[in-house]
Amino acid sequence: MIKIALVGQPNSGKSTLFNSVAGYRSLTANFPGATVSYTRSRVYLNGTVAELVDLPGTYSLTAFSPAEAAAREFLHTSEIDVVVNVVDTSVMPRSLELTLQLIDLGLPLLVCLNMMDEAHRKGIQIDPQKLSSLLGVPVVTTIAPEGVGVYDLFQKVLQLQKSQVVPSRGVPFHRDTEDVIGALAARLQEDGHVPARIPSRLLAIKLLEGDDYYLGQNALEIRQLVEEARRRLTDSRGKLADEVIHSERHALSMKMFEQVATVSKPPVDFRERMDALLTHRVWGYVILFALLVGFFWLVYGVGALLEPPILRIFEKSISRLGQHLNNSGFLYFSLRGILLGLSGGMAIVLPYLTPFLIGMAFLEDVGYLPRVAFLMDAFMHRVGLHGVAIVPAILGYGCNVPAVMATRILQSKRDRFIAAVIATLTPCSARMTVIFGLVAFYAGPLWALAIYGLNILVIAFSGKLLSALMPEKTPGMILEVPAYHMPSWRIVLLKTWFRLREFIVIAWPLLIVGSFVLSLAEYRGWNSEVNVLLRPLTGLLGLPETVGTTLVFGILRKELTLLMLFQALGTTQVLSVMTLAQIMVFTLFVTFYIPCVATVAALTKEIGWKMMSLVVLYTLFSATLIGLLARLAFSLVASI
Amino acid sequence: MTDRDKGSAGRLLHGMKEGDHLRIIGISRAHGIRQQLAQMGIQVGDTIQVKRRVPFGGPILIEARGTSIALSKEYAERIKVEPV
Repeated sequence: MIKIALVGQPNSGKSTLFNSVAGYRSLTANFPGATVSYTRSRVYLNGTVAELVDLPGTYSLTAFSPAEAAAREFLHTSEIDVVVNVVDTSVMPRSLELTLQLIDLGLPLLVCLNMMDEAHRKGIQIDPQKLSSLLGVPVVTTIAPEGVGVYDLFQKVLQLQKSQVVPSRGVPFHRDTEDVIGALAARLQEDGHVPARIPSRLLAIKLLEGDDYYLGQNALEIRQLVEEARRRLTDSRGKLADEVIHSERHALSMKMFEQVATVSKPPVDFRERMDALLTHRVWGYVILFALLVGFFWLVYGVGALLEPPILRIFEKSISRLGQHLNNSGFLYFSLRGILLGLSGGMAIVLPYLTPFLIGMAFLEDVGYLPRVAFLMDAFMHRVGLHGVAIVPAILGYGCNVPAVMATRILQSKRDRFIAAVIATLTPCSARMTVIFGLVAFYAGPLWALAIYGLNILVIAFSGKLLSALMPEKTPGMILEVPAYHMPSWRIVLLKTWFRLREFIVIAWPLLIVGSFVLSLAEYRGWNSEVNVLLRPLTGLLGLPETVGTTLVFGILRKELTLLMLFQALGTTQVLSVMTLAQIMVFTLFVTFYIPCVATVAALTKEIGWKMMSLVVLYTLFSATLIGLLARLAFSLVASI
Repeated sequence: MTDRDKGSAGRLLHGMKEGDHLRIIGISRAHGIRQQLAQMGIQVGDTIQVKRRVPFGGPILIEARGTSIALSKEYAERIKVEPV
């Protein structure tokens, strides 16, 4: 099977291109580093079966974050038939610097000039033929979200796969630099230090740049060699070797860009003016705050509108069930369990989750997240991180699993750990349904807003605590802020469906089964044993004993806590059996306690099982503490 | 060679105002800032513009070669510039 790899700098549209042939499989978003690990798909190109691989974006073959390292590792260790270099044409001079490195890979290469529309908007016109002859590789132009040029691109990919033409030996640097590169490459070759999939020229260049990854297994033997060559370069240019290579590449790509592009001054863009407002020193923060609160009310508004009528339908069918069946019989209990599970998904999860996911997809695709990182950098510094770390935290509001994985865009290990903890503490959309469906619905939306506010305080405190324990300084933020992009509704809806499907096919069946099991347990009287076991906890928090089992289910999926709560209480009229204080304490506990199993698995993968266990203990401890404090606060207020 | 040897004429990027057009005349060799900026296509000799600044010791948004880049304070303090 033909293997095609999509390689390019961050946010150049690789995933969008991938999805345009593979269907919506790779999540896309308008911020650098949206893809942190690779996605593969089998695709049919004109009747030929091929494997298409969407790699994380990387600025160069020298990696600064685990996401970039994954892309490089793939290129140097896998069997690849054709490399497609996806280029954001609107930032072409910089992008060509990666292209120059990819040429040295010695694989069949094709340059895909993507985002042509964006380039035109910036007043950039490109002559692709000319670029092709300068680079010595085929060049295709595309606008991936609209599918423009995509057919032609993969036609050319297939041709290239058949001919297996590799780029004629790269575009040369200055003579003296080439001499040093050539001599080092020859020497490495002679001594047998060149790995199978890394051509000697690329190896020599990367070693001169001082990228220790390329020392590989032979570090001891070749370091001496490399140091000598670096010194030669420094002596002749009066600059460090890596500066020499960078400026060579820089000048070359700039020169090439000038040869193939005509640039006219674009009119002052509407987006430019909008950005001036959205990143303004005062208005930027006002708008950010207004957006968050507005988003909250929107989700609440839609959810609260849909929840009661759907809930009523299910309540009616359950009470009708009671009229027709013996309401202490096995059949009644099992049917009621299934119905409650169904109603939970339909009435409580979907009405809040759907508007939330649509809004989230919109914000991601429009390119607002990097602006939030910019605005919040100073505040994130106070908790020992920097602006980029807010991206996983925001993604955490959707789901903690991709949020924990998104920490791979951060460079330092310490930052990744703290950001992962913060992402875990962020109330995900599952917990959101509990906060909205229970607190906002029964106690009022302001109480729900208060939980979000308290959560942010706890996150800030935890960040500060962890950075005090790990005082190593964060390296700071260097983040590309991409142009705004009006999201297409088709992509927003596809993305919403992509995430919604996760709930529908995995969580909902689990919910129905869980509800069924709990109903049976109740029939058999097993649940009381679990409840007795958890009595110290529920007693401490002042909750009804019957909610004990729901907390166990919540570790599987957080939505289960609410749905199981209805099941455990035997009613959706929560206020008839629980006080406002109990509802708040229950929800606060659920918001903070042990992450769900999927998040625990993601945490184990990213930070190791020891750290994961610490996080689990920390969340359990803080949830209990917060629940207890809330209980005390409520009883204090009540006694006044 | 340290940062200080690179000529004292330049000022720090961090102190510049919105709208300033500047040329980079030096980037500190500490903390891999220079390498990272190089990967993103920015190096000594390039002209940049300050697009936005935010208060509270916040970052600075610059435009370089058609790209907007947000830089934390500690990075902007290590880049030396001169007006163009």
